[in-house]
Amino acid sequence: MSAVEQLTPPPAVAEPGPRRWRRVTGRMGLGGLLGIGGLLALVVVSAAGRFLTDPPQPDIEAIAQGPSGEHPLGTDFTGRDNLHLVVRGGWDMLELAFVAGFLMSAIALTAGLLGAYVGGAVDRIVVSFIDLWLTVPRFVLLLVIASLFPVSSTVALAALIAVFEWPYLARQIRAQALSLRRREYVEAARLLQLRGGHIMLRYLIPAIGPFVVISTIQAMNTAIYQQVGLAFFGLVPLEDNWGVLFSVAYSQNALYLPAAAWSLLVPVAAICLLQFCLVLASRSLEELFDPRLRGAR
Amino acid sequence: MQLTPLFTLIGRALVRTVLMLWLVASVTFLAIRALPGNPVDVWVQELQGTGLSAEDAREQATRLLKIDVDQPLWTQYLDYLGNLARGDLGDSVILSPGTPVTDMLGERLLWTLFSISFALVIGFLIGLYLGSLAAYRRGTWVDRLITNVSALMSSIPAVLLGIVLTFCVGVAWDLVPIQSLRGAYSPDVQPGFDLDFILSALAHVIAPGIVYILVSFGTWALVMRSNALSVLADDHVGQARARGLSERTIRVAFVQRNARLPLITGFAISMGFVVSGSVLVERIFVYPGVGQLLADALARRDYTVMQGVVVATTITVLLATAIADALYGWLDPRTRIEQHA
Amino acid sequence: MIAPSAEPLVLDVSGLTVEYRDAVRTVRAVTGLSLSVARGRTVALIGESGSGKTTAALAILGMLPGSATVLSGSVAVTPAGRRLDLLRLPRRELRALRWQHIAYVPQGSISSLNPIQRIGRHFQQTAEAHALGRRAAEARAMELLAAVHLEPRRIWTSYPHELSGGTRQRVAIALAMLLEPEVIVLDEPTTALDVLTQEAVLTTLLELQAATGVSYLAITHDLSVAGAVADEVITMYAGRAVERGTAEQVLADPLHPYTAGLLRSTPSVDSDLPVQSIGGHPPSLSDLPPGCSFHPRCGLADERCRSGGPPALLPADSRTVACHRVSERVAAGGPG
Repeated sequence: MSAVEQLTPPPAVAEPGPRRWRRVTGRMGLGGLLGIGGLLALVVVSAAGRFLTDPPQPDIEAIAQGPSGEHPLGTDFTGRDNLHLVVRGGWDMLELAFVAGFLMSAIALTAGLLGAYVGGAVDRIVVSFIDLWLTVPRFVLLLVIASLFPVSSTVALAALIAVFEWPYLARQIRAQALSLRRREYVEAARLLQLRGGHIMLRYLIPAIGPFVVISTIQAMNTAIYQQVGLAFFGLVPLEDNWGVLFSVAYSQNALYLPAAAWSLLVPVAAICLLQFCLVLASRSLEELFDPRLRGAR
Repeated sequence: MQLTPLFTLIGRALVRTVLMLWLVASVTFLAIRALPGNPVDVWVQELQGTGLSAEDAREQATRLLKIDVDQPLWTQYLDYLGNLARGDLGDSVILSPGTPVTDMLGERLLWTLFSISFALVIGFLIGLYLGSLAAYRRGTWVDRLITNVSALMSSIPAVLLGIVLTFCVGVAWDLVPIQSLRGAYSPDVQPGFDLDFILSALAHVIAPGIVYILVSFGTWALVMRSNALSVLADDHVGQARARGLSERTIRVAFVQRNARLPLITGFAISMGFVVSGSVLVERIFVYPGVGQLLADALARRDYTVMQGVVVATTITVLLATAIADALYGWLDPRTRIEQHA
Repeated sequence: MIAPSAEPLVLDVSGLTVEYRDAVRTVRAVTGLSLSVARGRTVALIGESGSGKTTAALAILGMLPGSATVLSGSVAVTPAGRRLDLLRLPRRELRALRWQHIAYVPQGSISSLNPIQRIGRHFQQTAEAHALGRRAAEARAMELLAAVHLEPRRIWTSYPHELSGGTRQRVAIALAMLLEPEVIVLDEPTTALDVLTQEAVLTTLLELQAATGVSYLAITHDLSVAGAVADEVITMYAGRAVERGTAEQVLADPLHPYTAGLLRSTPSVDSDLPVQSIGGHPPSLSDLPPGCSFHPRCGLADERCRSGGPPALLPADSRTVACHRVSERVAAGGPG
């Protein structure tokens, strides 16, 4: 329909700072503000907990208690304060999520762009491998590998998760890059025989940038999901991050004792909160950067 | 009936199946046997530590693994693949020494499939319904509610949901005795084809089932919404309106049917995802499925059982994918053409 | 003026004005379009993409997307002697009336059929929606498929993707004829077809018209299509009708410089004249130049064309045209 074709949005015009900012926040909506604000708050609180406080000490006088004036969120089975634990345990969780999200995005970006840009046989290999790896029951394999070769650092664990979980993102990035490649200006650049690397740097990466940010947030989401599963089997030999806290509490049967259950439910709530913030943030960024992205998938 | 494309389709599925099994088997072999510090070497040393001679220890390992640990690695690898091709996954080394892993898997796999298949289908249907509802009501509060709730639910790890559910229902509100959530059927019921047993088995599926439904419907709703939106924008929908077709016919015959087709493959892949997820959920509800078995194997380091679970899960996914492909080909008249495009 | 046809009007559009709105701006796609189609006749709306002809067709059919609003005008039809304005009809009545009185062959019939339904099902659903009995519908569909030169039985059980573009176009035509409408809107009836198929489809359309007395409103950018089927031609530019007359007049001797340009840019077997495209681009509808919308691309433009409002559609030389220069010339007595 010709008349509708002419209704493509006008080129973005730089608006004066404050007005533009208000428009941005307006378009992000309440959910987006909550998500990004929540993430910032979690980062600040976790950083403060990690670097400004000492590890909470066990207290045999106060084992597995419910909330009280002294311990607002109760204590765990060694008498440590749940609130203190959860504030201290966030940093490792965020670090893991960030490193895994970054690595996953990096692998996915490399594979996805390689496939979309080089095309031909390379693309077919990339796509087949992605499809194959997507169909493998990865979590089961991840559990086995993690149990046979225990990783003892956050970064190693993040890398392990990233190696297992990149293909979904890679598929999305490839699809996105393919649709970009078909756009006229990229085609024009190709016809002008600009070098492939130049096209990628100058056109594809900037255009795909927002998408990568969103993908990284989604990758963080996945990383947390997987680390929670690993932790549940005691396969995360790390210090008290939220996943470890909840799995240790679970293995102490905290679930069945209402007073002790606080030590289980507090980290569970923290993980859910983090996940919610990540989801809200990624969804609102999607709408902010490009409403068409939603239709594209 | 065109036969050639059908054969191509089957051939492709076979190649993929073999490739995937080989990939998974190789990764498992690499991890369990070939890497330095691999658990079989460690185990042989441990056996020696219990007073067995080096020879006896190796012999025992060879017997249980059905791989001659004295041979060069590549011979072991070929033996391993050969065993696999014959359907022999070795014997359990620790959990139940000497029992063939295939025997241990059989019943467990049935329980797992029983418990997830109901929930998967229900979650899928709920997702389809909510997704298309959100698409029809695009931009309204219904749409926002559905998309946000779906996105949030699909981001909560299944295990956390299981824990919260158990806590609320079984502990805090005390609606249901905890024990009745556990196991595959009540201990006072004898397995058999009678009403009591079937009812008991169904009752025990409810708790894990609810968790599977809650964690799976959101993804379907989001994908269905985006598919339905793109079908709604298709020319043939506008054309159907022009022809005076009722909105109901358009939604069912045009939007629903077109939008859910591509989801079928995803549904099959999700089988694998949920079998993976069942590892966690079964542990919470002490459900005697593959997940429980894997949990035990992980805890006791029973390598042949671990390996067996990985292979069995992969085969489950492959079967599901094959069924989905067949279903897709049957439901979508265009498949044959598109397979060649 | 065009000699009034003795036949009654089956479609009478007057003063149709349509706008598209989004958050950013408003675009007027059609302004004050009037046209009428008599029984058994064909009117062609011609123009480049962006001229508003497709929007006009969608508005006439009541199929505009949600972002569009009809600001004014009426689309009158007279089923069974009752004069009704399609634009003011309740949705339910419109749905019942459309297809029975005014049907549609969409642009690119390739995507206008449900890919997962057999062709027969499309006919059945249409019949069901209009309370036409299943058997009667099937019998009529068979007749129609034969009338558009297809093998009825084979087509009935085929899926859309199994048919060629020309066959799908014929199916779409048969589907449009199912309820014996008085008028069919043909949106670019031959785009995306090869030349031979184009000709065959146009011949079929003319045969059907001769046999049933159906009227067509053809939307096309292809003047050869207009020449082949139309009795009357209306040229649209930037949302307005700029010239209207019988097909022979307009296509043989265009008065408006834009129609003349379109004609020059169409390759023709009959003429040795070189093909010459119109310079420049169609204007953006959201940012029309002042005065006559065509003046930036017009070789005749003078000061009057560049300022003031767009010229009115005035009678000139037994037709109507919206151009200051042509009106002056005609008033001065000399034909073009």
